[in-house]
Amino acid sequence: MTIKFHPAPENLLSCAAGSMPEALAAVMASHMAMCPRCRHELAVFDKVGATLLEEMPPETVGTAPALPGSAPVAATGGAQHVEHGDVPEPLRAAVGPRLDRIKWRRLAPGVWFHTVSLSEHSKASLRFIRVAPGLQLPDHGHSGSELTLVLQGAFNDAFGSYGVGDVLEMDEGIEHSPVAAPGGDCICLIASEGPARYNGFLARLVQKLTGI
Amino acid sequence: MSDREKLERIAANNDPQAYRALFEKFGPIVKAFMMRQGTDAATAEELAQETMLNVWRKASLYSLDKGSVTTWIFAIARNLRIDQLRKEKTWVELPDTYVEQASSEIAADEAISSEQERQKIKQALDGLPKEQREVVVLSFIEGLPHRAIAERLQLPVGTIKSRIRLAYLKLRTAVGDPDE
Repeated sequence: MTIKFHPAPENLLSCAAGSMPEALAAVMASHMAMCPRCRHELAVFDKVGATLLEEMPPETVGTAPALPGSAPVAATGGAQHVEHGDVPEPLRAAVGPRLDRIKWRRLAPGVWFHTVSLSEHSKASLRFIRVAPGLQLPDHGHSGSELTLVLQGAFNDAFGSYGVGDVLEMDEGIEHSPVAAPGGDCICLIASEGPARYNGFLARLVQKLTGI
Repeated sequence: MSDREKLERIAANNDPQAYRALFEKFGPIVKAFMMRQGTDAATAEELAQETMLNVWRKASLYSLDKGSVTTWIFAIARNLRIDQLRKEKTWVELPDTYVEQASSEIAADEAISSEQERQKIKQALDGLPKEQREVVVLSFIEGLPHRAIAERLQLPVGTIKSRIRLAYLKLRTAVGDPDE
C-alpha cells in the first residue's frame, strides 16, 4: 500500500492535541492505523503536547490517594491484535473487523452506506460509503469540512486519483464528481463536520440521486 | 532518580514511593490541564487522580518508544479529557496500542537524545510568532477545534488552519526533517 495523500499538517497537530471534532478524529485515527508515516508525525506532536503540559502553572492537589490493592497490569508483549480484517482497528468496535460484513443500507443503485453513531451532542456525522466500480456520483458540494479515507478500491475526481489509505479533504464550497475505479467496489469512510441541518455530502447526494 | 526509573520501579515492585513522587510532580500540572478545558477544580482533581492511576496500572506497558514519561502522561490525560469531559469517543489510542517493529532498535538512541529533543521543542515553541504559538496553545491546552479557535479569535477558519500549519512546520523541523 503506497499512500499518496496524507492529512494536512493542521489536522495532524489537532489530532495530537486531542482537539479535533469527534467524527474527523475517527477518520484521522483510521488513517493513522494504516500509515506509519503519520503515526510517527503524531508521536512527534505528542512531545509538543508534553512540553506544553510541563509549562502549566501547577494547581494544588491533595495527597496521592490510596492505591488499589490490585497489582498493575502485566505487559502483554504487544500481541493484542490477533483479529484479521480490513476495517481499520479504531472502527472495529463499531462495525466489526470486515468491510463486507458491515450492515450496508442501499441508497441508490450501486450506492450503499452505513452510519457510525457518535456521542449525542456531536454535530458531525461519520459514515461508510460503498460505490460500485465505474459508477460516477453526481456533482455535489460540501458543507463544513469533510475528511474522506479510502478503505477499499479507488476513485478519481478532477483533483486526483485516490487509493487505499489516501485522505481527501474537502472544504466548504468545493464541488466534485467522483468516479469509482473499475475492479471492486470502492469503500470510503467520510466524516462531515458542520451544523446538523446540513448533513454534509450524503444528504446532498441523496438529494441529487432522488430528486427530492 | 529519573521519571523513567520511577516508572520502572512501579512496574517491577509496585513501589508506592516512586508512585507518590510521580504524583507530586505530575498531579498538579495535569489538574491545571484539566481545568483549562473548562471544568471545576474538584472534577479536575478527580481526573488528575485518574490519570495518575492509569500511570500506576499501565506502568509495565510503558517503554521508551512511547517517548518520554511526560509524553506518555500527556497522551493519557488528553484521552481522559476527551472521554470524561467532552464525553466523546477517543478514537486516537494511546501510543502503546501501536506496536512499531523497529522500536527496539531505535530505543537506545532515542533515550540519549530525548532531553536534547525536549530542549529543541521548547526553543521552537518559544521561537514561534505570537499568533502561531497562540493557536498551538489553544489546540493543545484548551482543546479547541479549528472552528472554535476561529470563533474565539474572530478570524476566518482558513486563517487558523494556515497559522497552525506554519507552526507545525517550524516545530517539525526542530526535531528533524519529516520523511517526505
